Amino acid sequence: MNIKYYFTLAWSDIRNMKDIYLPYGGMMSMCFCFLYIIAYLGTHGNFYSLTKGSIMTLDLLTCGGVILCVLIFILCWTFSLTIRRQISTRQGLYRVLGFSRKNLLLLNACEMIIISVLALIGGMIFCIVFGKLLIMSAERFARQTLIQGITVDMRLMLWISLFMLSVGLVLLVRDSVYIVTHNPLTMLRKEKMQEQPKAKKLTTIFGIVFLGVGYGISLSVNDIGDDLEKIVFAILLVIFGTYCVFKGTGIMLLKLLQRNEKLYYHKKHMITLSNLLFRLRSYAVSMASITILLTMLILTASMCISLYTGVEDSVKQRFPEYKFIINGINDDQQLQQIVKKHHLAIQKEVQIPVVHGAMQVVVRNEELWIGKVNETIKENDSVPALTAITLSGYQNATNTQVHLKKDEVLLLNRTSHPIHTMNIRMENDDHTISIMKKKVRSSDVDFEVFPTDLVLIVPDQQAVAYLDYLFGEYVHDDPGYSTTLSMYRSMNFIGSEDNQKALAADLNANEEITIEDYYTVLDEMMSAYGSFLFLGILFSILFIFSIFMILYYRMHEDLREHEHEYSILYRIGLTKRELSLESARENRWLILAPPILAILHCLMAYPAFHLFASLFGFGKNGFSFMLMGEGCLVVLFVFIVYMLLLQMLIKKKIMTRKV
Amino acid sequence: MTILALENVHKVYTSRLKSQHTHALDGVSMELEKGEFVAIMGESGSGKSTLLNLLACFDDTSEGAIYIQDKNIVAMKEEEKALYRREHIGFVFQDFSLLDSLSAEDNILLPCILSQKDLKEKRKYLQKLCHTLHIEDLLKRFPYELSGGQQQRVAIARALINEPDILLADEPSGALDSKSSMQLLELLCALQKQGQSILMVTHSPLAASYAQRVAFLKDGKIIQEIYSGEDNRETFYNRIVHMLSVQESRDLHEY
Repeated sequence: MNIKYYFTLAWSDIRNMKDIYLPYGGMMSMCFCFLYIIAYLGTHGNFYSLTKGSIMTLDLLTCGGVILCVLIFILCWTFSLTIRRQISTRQGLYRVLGFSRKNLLLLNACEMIIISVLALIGGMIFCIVFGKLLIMSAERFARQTLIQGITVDMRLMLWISLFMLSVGLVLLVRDSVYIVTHNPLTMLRKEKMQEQPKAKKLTTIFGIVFLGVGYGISLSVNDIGDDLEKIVFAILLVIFGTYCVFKGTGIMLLKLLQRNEKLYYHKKHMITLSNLLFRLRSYAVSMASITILLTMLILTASMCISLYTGVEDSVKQRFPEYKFIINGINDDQQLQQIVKKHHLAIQKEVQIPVVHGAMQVVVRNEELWIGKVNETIKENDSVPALTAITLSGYQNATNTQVHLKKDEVLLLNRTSHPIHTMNIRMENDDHTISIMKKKVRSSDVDFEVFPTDLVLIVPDQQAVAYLDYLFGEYVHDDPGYSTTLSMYRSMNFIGSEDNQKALAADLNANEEITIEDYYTVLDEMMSAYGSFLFLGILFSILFIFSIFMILYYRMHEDLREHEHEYSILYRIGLTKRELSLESARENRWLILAPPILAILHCLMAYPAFHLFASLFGFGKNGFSFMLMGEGCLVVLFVFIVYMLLLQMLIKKKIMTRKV
Repeated sequence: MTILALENVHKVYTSRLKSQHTHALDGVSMELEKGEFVAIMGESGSGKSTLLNLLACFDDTSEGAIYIQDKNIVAMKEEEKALYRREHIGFVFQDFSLLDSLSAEDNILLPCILSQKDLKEKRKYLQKLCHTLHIEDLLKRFPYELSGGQQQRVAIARALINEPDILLADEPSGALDSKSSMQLLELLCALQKQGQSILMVTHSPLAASYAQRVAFLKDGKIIQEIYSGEDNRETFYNRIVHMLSVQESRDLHEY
C-alpha cells in the first residue's frame, strides 16, 4: 500500500475520534509551551547579573524543568494508554478486514506522527500566543526583569521537539508491542469490564498499612532537614497506598456491604452497590490518580501561595519597628551625609552596642554553655545561634529599665528549651579548662532586632570581658586586639520609598558597612518566592488539566456503557426519575471519594508542610494551615459543582431520551 | 377473561422537521385472553416492535386505547406507567438484557426489590420458578458465566418473579442456537399451561408454532389471525409457513 494511503486513513481516524485525540493533543501542546517557557527563562535569563534571588531563581527553574520533563512523560504515557484502550477495537477491526500486522504498525506510526506534529505546531502557537503573557506574569511575581523580551529560539524549540518526539517514540514502541502481541480477536473484544472484581486481601492490607505508615511518618516528622529521606519514603508509601486502597480496600468494603443482606437487598442500595463494585474495577486507577494529583495540586498551590503572599508579613515580623539595621558606621556625621544625599531624614534611631553577632552555642540540661564548647558537643545537645549585646543597648531598644547583678545575665530565649543557668567554658593560658557560672534571667520583652534563637544581654561593664567569654580564650588582654564594640544602628527614615531603596542600595554597595533593610530583604524574598509561585502555577495548571482529562476520558467511556444499563433498568420498570437518582448515587461516591481522600492526605501531610513553611517563617498563626484548608475547601467545592453539573446533564439525557 | 385489549391503536412517527409521517401502526385492534399464548409475526418494519413497545409502556400511542386488566395504560402518566410495568408486565428481550453487575439470583430478584415486595416470600417463589426453568444451579453465577440459553432462562425468571398479568417476549429465541431455542419455547408452553398469558413477537414460524394463535402484521395492520385449535405443532407449523408463502406470493404479484 502507498504510504500516502496510511496517512490519509490515519488522518481520517483522528478526525473521526477527535473527541479523544483533541484533549490529548492539547495537553501535549501545553506541555511543550510550559517546557519552552521554563527552558527559555533558564537559558536566556541573565540571573547572575541580577541582585535579587539570582541563584535561587535559576536553581528553581532548572529543578522545575526537570520535574516537568518527568511529569510530561508520565502524563503522555497514562493518557496514551487510555487512547489505546479506545482505539484497539477499531484497529482489531482493520486486522479482521485484511490489514496485516505490518500494515497496522505503519498506520499506528502514521497516527503517532500526525498527532506529534500537530501537538508540536500547537505548542509553538501556544508559545507565541501565551509566551509573552507567561513571561510577564513570571516577571510580575519575581518583581524584576528576568529577560529582555521573548523570541523564537530555534535551537531550544528543536531540543524540546526532540524530547517530545522521543517520548512519542517510546509510546510508539509500547503500542507496537501491543499490536504484535495481540491477535485481531482479542483487540476487537473489549476489556472484560463485566467480570466481577475480586477482593484482593493482600492489596487491601498493603493499602491500609502503606497509608498508615505514610501518615505515621508524616505526623512524626520533627525536622524537615534531618527527616527528608523519611518524608520522600512517606510520599511514596502514600502514593502506592492510595492505589492499593482504591483497588483493594474499596472493593473489599463494597463486598462486605453486599454480604449484609438487610442493607444490600434494598431498593436504593442493590444497584448502587453492585454497580459501584463493577465500576471500581475500571475506576480504581483513575480515582487513585485523581487523588494523588489533587493532593499535589492542593499542597503545591497552597505552599506557593502561602510563601508568596506571606512574604510581606514575614519581612514585617523581621523588621517590626525599624526598617534599617546598619553596622559599620560609627561616625554620625558620615551617616548624616549619606542620608542627606538621598533626600531623607532620620525619623528615629536606636544604637545597640553588640558584643558579637550570630554564633553557635550549646544548650544542655536546661543550661546554656558558651566559650570553648565545640569539642564538647554531644548528640542530644541543642545548638542554637546567639547574639550578645549590652544592657544599655537593650534598654534603649526596648525602653525598659533592668538592673543586672555582677553574676547575672539577661536572656531572650526563642527556643523551646528552658534555660536557667549559663556556664562559660574558658581555656586558660596553660590550656587548663575553667568553668564560670552565671545566673540567667529571662527577658520579658521580645526583642526582634536580632533574629537569632538566643539574645544574650550582658552588663555594659563586662561587655569587653564577654568578647573573650564567647570565644573561650583570654585574647583581648593582648594590646593588639581591639576592644571596641561594634555599633548596630536600628533606624527609620522619613522620605519616599524609592529614596529609601536607593539608600539601601548605596549602603549595600559599601563593603565596609553591613546593612539589613526591609526593602532589600522584601525584594529578594519576593523574587525567589515569585519564581516559586510561577512554577507552582504552571504545575498547578498541568495538574488541573490532567485531572480534567482523567475525568473526561472516564466519563466518555462511562456514558456509553451506562446507556445500555439504564435502558435495561428502564425496561424492567424503573422510572426516569429513579434512574437519574440511581446515577446520582453512584456518581456521588465516585466523584467525591478522590477529593475526600486527597483532603485526608493533605491533613496528614500538614505537620511536614507546616515545618517546611516554618523554614521560611510562615509557620506562625496557622497561616499555612488556613491556606491549605482553603485549598481543600476550594477543591471540594469544585468537585461538588462538577458532580451537580454532571447529574444535571445525565438527568437531562435520561429524561429526554426514548428507549 | 380478556387480559389485554387493543382498540384501534395508531402510532405515527413524525420526522424532526414534521415533513414526513410514518404510520408504524394503523388501527390495530386485538384481544388476548387470560392464559393464552399469542405470537405476532411480520416482516421487518411491519410494526411488531412498535406494538410491543406500546404494550410495555415504553412509548405512547398516537391514537386508540390499550387495556391491560381493564385499565387503559394510554391514559397513564410516565411515572404510573413505569410502576405499572414493574408490577403487571414481564418482558423478555432478544438480547436477554441481564445486568452484568448482578448475579443470576440478584437479576431475578431485582424487580421484587424495586417493588419492595416481601423478599422471603419471593425467594420461595424463586425456588419454584428455578425448578420450572431448570436454573437452580445457576443462581450464584454472573451473566458472563452463563450460556445464551441459560441467560434467557434467567431473563424469563426475572420477567415472571413479580407474577405479571402478561409476559411480553421480543424474539426470545432470536439469539439462541436451535437446541436452546426449542427448550426455551417448550418452557414458554409450560408456563402458558400453568396459566401465564404470553404475547410473543417473532420472525420464526417454528417459534410461532408453539403459540395457540398467530397474528400476522403487515404495514402496521393485522392482516390475518390463525388458531392452532386441535392441530398438532407440525400441522400448525405447516399452516403458518403456508400462510407466509401465500402472503409472499401476493406481495410478489402486487410488486
